[in-house]
Amino acid sequence: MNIRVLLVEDNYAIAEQLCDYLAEHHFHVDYANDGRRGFTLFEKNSYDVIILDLMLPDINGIELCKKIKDTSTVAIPVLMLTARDSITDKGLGFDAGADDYLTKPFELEEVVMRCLALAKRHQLHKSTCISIGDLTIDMHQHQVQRAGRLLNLSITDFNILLVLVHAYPNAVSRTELIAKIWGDEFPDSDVLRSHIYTLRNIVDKPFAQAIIKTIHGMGFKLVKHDDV
Amino acid sequence: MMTFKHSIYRRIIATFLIFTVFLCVLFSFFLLAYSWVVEDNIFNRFVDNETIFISKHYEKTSQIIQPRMRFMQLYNSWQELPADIALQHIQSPNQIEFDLPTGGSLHIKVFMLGPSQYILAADVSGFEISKEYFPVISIWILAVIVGISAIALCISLLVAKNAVGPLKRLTEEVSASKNTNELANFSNDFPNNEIGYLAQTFESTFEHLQQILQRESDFTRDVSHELRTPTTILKNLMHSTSHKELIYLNKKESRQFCYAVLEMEQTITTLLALARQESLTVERLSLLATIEDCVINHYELNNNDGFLLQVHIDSQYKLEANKNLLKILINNLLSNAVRYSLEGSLTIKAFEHVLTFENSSSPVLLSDPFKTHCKGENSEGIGQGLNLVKRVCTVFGWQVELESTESKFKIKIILNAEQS
Repeated sequence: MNIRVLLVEDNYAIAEQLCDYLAEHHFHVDYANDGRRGFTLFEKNSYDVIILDLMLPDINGIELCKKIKDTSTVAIPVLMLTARDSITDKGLGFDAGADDYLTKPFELEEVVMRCLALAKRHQLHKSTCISIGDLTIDMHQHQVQRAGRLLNLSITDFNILLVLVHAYPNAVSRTELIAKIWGDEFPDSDVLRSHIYTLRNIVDKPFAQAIIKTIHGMGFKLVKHDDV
Repeated sequence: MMTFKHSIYRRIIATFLIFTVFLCVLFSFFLLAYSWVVEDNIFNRFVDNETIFISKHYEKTSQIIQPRMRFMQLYNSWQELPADIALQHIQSPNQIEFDLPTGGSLHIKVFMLGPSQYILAADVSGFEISKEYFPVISIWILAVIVGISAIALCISLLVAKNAVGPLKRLTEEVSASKNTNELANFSNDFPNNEIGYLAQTFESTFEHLQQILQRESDFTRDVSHELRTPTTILKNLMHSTSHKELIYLNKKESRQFCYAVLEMEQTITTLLALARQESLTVERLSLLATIEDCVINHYELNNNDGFLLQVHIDSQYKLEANKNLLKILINNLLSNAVRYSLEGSLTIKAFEHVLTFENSSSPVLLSDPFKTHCKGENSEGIGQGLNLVKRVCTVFGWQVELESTESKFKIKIILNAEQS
């Protein structure tokens, strides 16, 4: 997936590091060092994600975000990148229409993951099928395929996989997964383990590489072969 | 509408009413007692006058005559009187008024006629008006008490309203305001008296507090920006390929550089969080869910697949804490374990009110490991990690202890019993 990103960041060093890293991960990046140039680039081109710094020399990142959201005919995801991390600042960002918020100092890898997640969410509205590596999930037909093979999953296993697909590339904790699948009526702690076991038997075991990864027993996430 | 267990408004009304009822009852008793005393004295005077009349007549004629009034009778001795009167006299020789079995009373005067003692007894049962009127008078007295109490209630309501009203309004305005901004110029609505002065004092205190909060907010925001931006550059440099090409850093120096950057990031995040007012807001949190959240989002841990993490915490274990600070605390301890654990393992346990983080480590020999810039021999950080852990624990009122043996490093956090 070739993702087009607009980066609006006034700090040259950070911008250079981000551009290099994103380009290394096959992103197409356009860069603006102030709000006015950023808005011009946004008007001229189409992007999958906009990475926006909150403090810009000419226009406040919050105002620019509002302007982009008000002008755009399609909902372009905005990842707010800022050195301010108070709840008030985060609230202002989300009020202005930001889709995600990342506080400096950040991991470059996390920027990539969040951009992928936002771009995927952006594209989710366009299609009922989601593909992660060789795994394809059809939400309307309730069908899952891996490497072209149709996989027969129970309703609960399908729902667990769907939660992981929606969270991709981020991980989902055990508690969050339990809350999303069973709500408050969770029978006992071994049930999730049992479902993950059956899910792995169907989704991972017949194939050379596993797509479901356990994070230190605390959560799960999907990984593509090239992620590993 | 605010309600208080000990409302001044209700206290004023209650005090007024209790005092009024007490006064009414007291005066009613005085009134009744006075009427009884007057009545008894009139009877006694009648008896005295009659004894004087009988005595004078005896002195003139040496004859003993019967009293002029029909309700009086002259007796020769106590034995001639009814038996229970004689008995009452033996029990109380100075008594001059005796209760009759019929409900009335007998007033007595002992006097001498020549050498003999005589007793003049007046049965005043038919003349005791106070006893006869008592039921009617009682109703009237009760009616007067109720009437006066009602008037007192009205006056007390008025007094309480005038005295407590402004104070009540001040209390309600202060408690209803969600933030100090809403209290700007609110003292103008209060009269120029003690309450008005109190309102002005509140207003100026709130303004001062608002200024302090604004300064704190501006300061942490500016510091956040000025420190986080260069830290971001250093952190990204640490992960970028160009850093690996820095030939003038050997492996140890390179590791020291990385740890210093990561610890600087931790320090900035923790100190700024501790400085903020928002960090004082606590909520009931699931400890396991918070740890899971920290683990799956912990960069260093997730890039270390070989690290063995064991968590023994009941999913129902809850504690009261600020979510952001608790996550900072857990992240600091996770980072510490990932960096310094010898075997690459960490065990997290929560039992009763103690949360422990235990990992394999070489012994840490420090007199005060939680002191700032205090670090072990093998530490390549800047010696802030444990100090930050302690500072976060202090905010929640938790105690933190370190146990270090030849091979184990254990951080014990003793939670408040009522919080967990």
